[in-house]
Amino acid sequence: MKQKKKSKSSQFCINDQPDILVEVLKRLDGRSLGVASCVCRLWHSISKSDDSVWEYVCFRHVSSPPPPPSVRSLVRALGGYKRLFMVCVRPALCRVNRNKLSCRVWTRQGAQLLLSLFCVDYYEKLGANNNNNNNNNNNNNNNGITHSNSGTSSSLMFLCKPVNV
Amino acid sequence: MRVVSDTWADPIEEQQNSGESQQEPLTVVSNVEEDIGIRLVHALLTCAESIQRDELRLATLLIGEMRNGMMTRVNTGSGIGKVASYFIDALSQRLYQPSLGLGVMGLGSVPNDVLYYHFYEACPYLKFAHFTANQAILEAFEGHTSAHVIDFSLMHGLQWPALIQALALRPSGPPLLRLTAISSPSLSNGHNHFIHETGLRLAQLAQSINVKFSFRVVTISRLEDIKPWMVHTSPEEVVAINSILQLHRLLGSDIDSFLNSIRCLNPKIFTIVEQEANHNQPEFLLRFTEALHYYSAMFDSLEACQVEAAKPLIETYMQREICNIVCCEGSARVERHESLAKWHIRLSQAGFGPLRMGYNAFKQANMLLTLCSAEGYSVQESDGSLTLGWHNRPLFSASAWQVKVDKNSFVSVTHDGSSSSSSSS
Repeated sequence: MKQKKKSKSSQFCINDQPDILVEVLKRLDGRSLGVASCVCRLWHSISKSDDSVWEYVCFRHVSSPPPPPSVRSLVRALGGYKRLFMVCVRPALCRVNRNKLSCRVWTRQGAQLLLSLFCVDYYEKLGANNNNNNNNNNNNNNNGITHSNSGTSSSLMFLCKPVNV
Repeated sequence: MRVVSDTWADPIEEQQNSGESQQEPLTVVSNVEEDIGIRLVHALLTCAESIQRDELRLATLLIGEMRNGMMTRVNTGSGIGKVASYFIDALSQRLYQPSLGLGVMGLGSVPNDVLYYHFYEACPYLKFAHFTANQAILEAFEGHTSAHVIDFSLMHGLQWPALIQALALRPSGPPLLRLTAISSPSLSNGHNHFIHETGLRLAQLAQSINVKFSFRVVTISRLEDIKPWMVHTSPEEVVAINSILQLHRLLGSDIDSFLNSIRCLNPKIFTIVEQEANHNQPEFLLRFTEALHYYSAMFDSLEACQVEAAKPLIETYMQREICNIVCCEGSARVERHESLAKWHIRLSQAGFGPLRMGYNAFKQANMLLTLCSAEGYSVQESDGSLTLGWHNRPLFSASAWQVKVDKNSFVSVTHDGSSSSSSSS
């Protein structure tokens, strides 16, 4: 009897239904999604490769209709939704919640501002990367932006709480 | 700090009263920090007044008293003590070595663009400037398929990624965007060695997000000599001109011909961000008093800044401005900040009319402040312009302008850029 029950329950495994899995993962908040991506290789690869999972996390709190498809290609070009979440959305949400200002619902304008900041971040990383390439040839560093090789964007530091890595 | 600022309500009265206090020995009755702070301000203003009156011995005496007396009893790490130390240094430089400019205090070692970058990174002022100007430019570019931005304040180009991104997301698709950066020794980026790298990076960014982009640099030794033909605008494109904290530098030379050249470019929008202060009065004492008040608010806001590593660099950035305002005269004095009201008059006379910043710009500025860690900043709207201030003291103002079309006159632009206007009345 027990074996029969076991065989019945083992017929369904969420890992066999990746599209359902994606639907479930989409509805998680950022932290839970991060935790989920550590569960097993499949979950990890889904959260890593299928950026749309993170897209939902980023824009869930935007009150107005979902962003147009042009946003998706833009975000992908600038580094992907997961990076957008880590670099911009999560610190901003922490900041807003800490200030106990408007609730967790973002306006479209707030989302646009975050996209712009994300773009500035990408631009600064371009500078850091270019300088790392140039430094091998040119000792005289004229560009005052490079700080370290970690590529952390400095202009977004005002968003982040200091984190001891 | 706030206690001290209350006593600045009537600086002129105070410095008249302090005439007597110079004779008394500086015995301090109570050792309260605020008391020292008030005395320090008195002493600073008296010293400035004596410099204005050419009573240099008295000024030297006061500086000595401040340095050896009051400054030892006040906390120079923050508050009035810190601001006072910078102003005392500036005053003594004005007395002893006016010709040496900035180099004497070791201020010349760090390049200006590095300081500017940290100022951008750690304080919201420049971000406010960029985002507000960008919003106005974005709205002006509505409906056009070919756009040209002429930028007098490129520095590291940090303003433009956000505009390029916003244009990329336009429902009607991005326009062809041209960016012309003006490079000149008159501007604060001086000899901008990395201007071409900046252009390259912006082009890389634009390419990643599918915005057709081209970049050009125009180098000119005197900004007032700029002529429309140097910039290569074409009739079908919409032109935006951008100046972030640069326009005041021309007040020591021929700003009117500069504004006339700008007007001849026929821009749809001219975005200007300037310090909201009157640091251009010919009378030294008035200038000094204003600067003391203004930079106290700036240093105060800096204490709320979260990025500790950037603070000393930002202080140096402000110290350079203070030194220029206090020590320099004539063409060397470039930090000639003027209030928005004065710019209004000047720009109106030059043929520009104000363009109201929309509500979107206001909302965006407030959202930017929400994301900023410190409380104490506030955005205010007045007559269509936005000002960002610290505890109700406005510090920077962002405004947008358009070429006025006078019904009674028409302006024709000839090839060499000079304009002739005739009026029918």
